[in-house]
Amino acid sequence: MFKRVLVANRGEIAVRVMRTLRDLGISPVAIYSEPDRHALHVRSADLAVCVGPEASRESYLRMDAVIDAARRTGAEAIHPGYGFLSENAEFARKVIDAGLVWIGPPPDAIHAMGDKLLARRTVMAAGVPVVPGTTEPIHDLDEAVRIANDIGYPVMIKASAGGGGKGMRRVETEAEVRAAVETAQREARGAFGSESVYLEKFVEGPHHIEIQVFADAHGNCVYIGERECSVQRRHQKVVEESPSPFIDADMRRRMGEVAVAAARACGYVGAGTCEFLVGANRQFYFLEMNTRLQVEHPVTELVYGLDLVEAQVRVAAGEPLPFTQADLVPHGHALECRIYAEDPETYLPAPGKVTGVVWPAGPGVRVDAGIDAHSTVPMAYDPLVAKLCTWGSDRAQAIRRMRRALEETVVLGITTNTRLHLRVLEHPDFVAGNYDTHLLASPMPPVPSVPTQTRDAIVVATALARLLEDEARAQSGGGNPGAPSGAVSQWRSHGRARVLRGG
Amino acid sequence: MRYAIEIGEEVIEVEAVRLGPNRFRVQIGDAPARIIDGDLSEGMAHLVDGDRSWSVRLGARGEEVHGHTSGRGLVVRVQDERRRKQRAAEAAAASGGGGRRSIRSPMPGKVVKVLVAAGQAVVAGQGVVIVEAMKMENELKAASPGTVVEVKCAEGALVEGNAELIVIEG
Repeated sequence: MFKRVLVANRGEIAVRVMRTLRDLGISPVAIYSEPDRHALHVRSADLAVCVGPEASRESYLRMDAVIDAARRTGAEAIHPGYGFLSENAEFARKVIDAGLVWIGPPPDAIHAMGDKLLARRTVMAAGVPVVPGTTEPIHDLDEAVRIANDIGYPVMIKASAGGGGKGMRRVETEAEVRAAVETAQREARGAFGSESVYLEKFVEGPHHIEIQVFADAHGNCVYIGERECSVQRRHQKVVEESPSPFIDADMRRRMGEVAVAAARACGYVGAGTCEFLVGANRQFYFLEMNTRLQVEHPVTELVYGLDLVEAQVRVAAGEPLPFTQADLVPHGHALECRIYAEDPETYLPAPGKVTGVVWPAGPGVRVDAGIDAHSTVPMAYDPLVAKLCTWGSDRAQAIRRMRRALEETVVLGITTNTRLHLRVLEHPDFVAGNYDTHLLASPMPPVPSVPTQTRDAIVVATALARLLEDEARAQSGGGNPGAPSGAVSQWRSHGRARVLRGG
Repeated sequence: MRYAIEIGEEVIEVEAVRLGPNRFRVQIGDAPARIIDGDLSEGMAHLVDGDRSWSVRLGARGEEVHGHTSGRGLVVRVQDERRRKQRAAEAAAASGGGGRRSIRSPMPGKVVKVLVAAGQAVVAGQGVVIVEAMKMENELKAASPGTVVEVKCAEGALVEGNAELIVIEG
């Protein structure tokens, strides 16, 4: 087994990977950008190397700097987490060429699945169902209209290199096709540097369900159940759960077998995820394969009693998969809420200095956090600060525990979206397990106002804290009555200074 | 001591008097005074009010205080009476000066573009400055027509949440 592994990421996923490394007796190495020097993921590591300034392209995305950091610290392997360089085939190749172990799939598999159209062709050859549509980029607008007419409206125009909803457009009628293709091409060129777009049928009442797959270098490949990811806002996942309330054991097996076929078709090794679109009629179609660890992997870990990162490390070290298909039996139900530093009403990002944190604990609760009470959330990176997961022996218990966990959660100094999650968990369609990707677009239960007693408790606590500050100031011989003196004020001035420095 | 605690537009008057090491008499507005057993340490206040137990977390948030209890958080601003009167006088002076209004940053971020210059007339809804945070650009707009009297930020500058960026009069 490795003695030292570099984690080429930041935030909650870097902290989470380092925890498993410690479980395995492996010394974790962090990389960081200048403003992240004292970030939680750096504090979680034994060694840490600065890879550049704040901008990701000058730090976390610099392949040479990351590989140099591994060499300098004597790390034998690199775990990329998700995002950043995790799905970059060129980086994977450079890591391997540098004589290091890449904790991820082979570069060719990343490449084959990295382009949506190429992935479509690869899996179709293996008999995997895909949404009806084109297998080649659209060159000719007349051809696009002809194909759209054949498939039937509505259709989706998608960027071949796409992701996160960019370069994606829904088209209702023949008259809209030409303009939509041109717009999607323009968006795709701007966002991904490639104007390759394709066309597929729009699936009604869609569910976004993904299958976890895992393969080793010895020819074993298994599926580890599904995750329901239909609670989305602008194609960004908000709440995930496993199992999906929408599918049964037979469908899980059929989708799992298809996912394994897709993984085998590209020579996959390691942890990967096949995303499917499932229509209201329960027809399922392969969408894409994510060739890395997924943000929402903890719900699978909770339901199957596994550590997927440990399995990743073992498989990368050449060991066979530590489980067989027969071992993989789901148990109970798990939920994940993504805690973002953003306003739950306006969705505006809310970076800043964190001045207090209380994470939930107790029965069935797991927290994967990238911040603590000593953190600053910089504005340059993804606003995901933590993932709250709960497990229950059934879905209702998992939901009750998640409500309690959200009530226990305190993050002071910045705004987080915990209120949004509580509203989702109170939504009758969510509670009934009867929802699709339109849930967050439908009217949400109103935010209840803060009860007077609760408000008064905060008012009294604030007044008493201020009284203690004023008393302390009077004792120390007066001074400027507006000047900070007490604990709260000291955090206040410190927090301001850090935000203004951009740190 | 008397304090004015602002929550949004609402102002709550509180009088707090120490009775003993951990005992306080607290009166909120005109409600009857309560004797509260309060244990305060850094970032935390435990209040025992008769049989009721409240565990309140407190943290700074810029100039304000972020309080949290029973699953709910509130951002409040505390002022002693002297400061409050001072501010009221300033506000009165400002309103006498013909409606000065500030465009403030809704969050900490970076000023990407300043769209107006001092002396320039603006119409309601006109974009005046663009602030970026976490890869999202937000164009801040003038709420009503007027003249830009001051630009208090520069392009590329990092600004705090609620920082005054542009002053408009009219």
